[in-house]
Amino acid sequence: MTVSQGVLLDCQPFKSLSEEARRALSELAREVSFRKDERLIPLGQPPQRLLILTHGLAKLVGVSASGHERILYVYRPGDLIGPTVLLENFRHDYEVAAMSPVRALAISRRDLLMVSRRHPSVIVAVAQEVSRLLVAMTERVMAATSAEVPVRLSQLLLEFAHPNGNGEGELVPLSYPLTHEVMAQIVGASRPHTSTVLRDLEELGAVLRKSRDGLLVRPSRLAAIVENGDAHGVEEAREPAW
Amino acid sequence: MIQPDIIDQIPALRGLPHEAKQALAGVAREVRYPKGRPIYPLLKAPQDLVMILEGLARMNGVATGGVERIIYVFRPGEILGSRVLLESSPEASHEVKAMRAVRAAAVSRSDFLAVGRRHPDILMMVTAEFSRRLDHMTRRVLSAMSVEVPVRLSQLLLDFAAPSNPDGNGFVPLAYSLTHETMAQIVGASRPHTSTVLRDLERAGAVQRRSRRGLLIHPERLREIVASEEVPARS
Repeated sequence: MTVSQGVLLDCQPFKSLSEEARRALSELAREVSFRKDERLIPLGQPPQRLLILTHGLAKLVGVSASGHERILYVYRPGDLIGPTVLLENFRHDYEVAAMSPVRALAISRRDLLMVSRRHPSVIVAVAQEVSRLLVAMTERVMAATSAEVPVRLSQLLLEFAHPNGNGEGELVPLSYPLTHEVMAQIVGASRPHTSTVLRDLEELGAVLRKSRDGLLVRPSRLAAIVENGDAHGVEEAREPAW
Repeated sequence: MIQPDIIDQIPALRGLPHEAKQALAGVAREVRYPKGRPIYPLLKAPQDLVMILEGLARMNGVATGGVERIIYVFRPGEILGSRVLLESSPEASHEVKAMRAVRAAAVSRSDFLAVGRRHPDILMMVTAEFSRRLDHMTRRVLSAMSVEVPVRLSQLLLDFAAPSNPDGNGFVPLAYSLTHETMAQIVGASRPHTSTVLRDLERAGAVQRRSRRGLLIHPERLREIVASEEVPARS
């Protein structure tokens, strides 16, 4: 089943393609869906196609030799999954699984190479997405080797803060809800420790744990913690009690 | 412009058709950076795609408390500057500097995209190379979040093993020598702790610290340590 050009227009990486390039891509792409927990890319298997997430969330999961599961990245709508499809038979040490029901556009390696030769703007769009992911992963390497759990958790919450806040200093919900377990797996801490750190962040006025809208975050306070590199360093500036 | 055969020094681009190599060489220029000079300065969007021909470059960031961390070491044959491809590059909190004198071929963003549109294989191969780097960074995040310093250091030494045959005892030198300070900045540990861990690895038979050829490593033992996530007791 091919996809409509409208679906591609809603897909951030391909928004700026020419109509001709979009038409060619729409004839080759297919819409695929996955149930929660279903594997988009199974462990140890080379990706067979490039996926562009259109609905839902998916997680890139690594399992260490001692069996610890870590979420290395959370894919959101508009993200590319499996760009190493460009490398023949490239095997990963990790897998990609749906965190919620997921819909995505799929394009095979052969079709991607074919359409990119006719319309180089398609591969430029893919390259730009790979570059964005590379920037994000570079920042994560830096955080993982430098910052403590409260700072890593503050950075994560900032990344997921809803972009349409009500002004500086206001509380905003997360764009996508994250359980304590998921947060723990992303920042590389235990679930109980993550819950303790969330409580500490609440005391510092950076989050509000229980509200009608679930967890609320205060981006300005989280940004101060990340900037300062230490949650306690911003304690002096504690807000009045909620 | 540079000679087209120089493009063959970049493994990711060796498979390009001859015309594409010629076109890329036609818009490339040779550049040199003395040790310590920034190739991509902090907070500045990169303007050129840079292909390293000789020397080493490091991507580093300054963590809180002023601690410098090396995020990635670029070696000859690697391509730098994925952010060149972005229309508006976000401010990055890291920079790329020559770790040793670097000789490289540079191509401006506009020339790269223009030549890539005429020869899409160039775009595809460079994108594939950046995808490989993305995979490497992903594994580094997993390693930094999951395993202890001895295992991270073992993984780093394996990454830098020279592609030569082991001596009679199974040891090979590093392809590029690394100071204890550099290793510490890459694995995210202090310099003294890194030296202690190297001593422990020597006791486990995984490295030999003092030899005529500098630090020697035992790839097979290092692989065992990475796989088991444990440094065995003295052998």
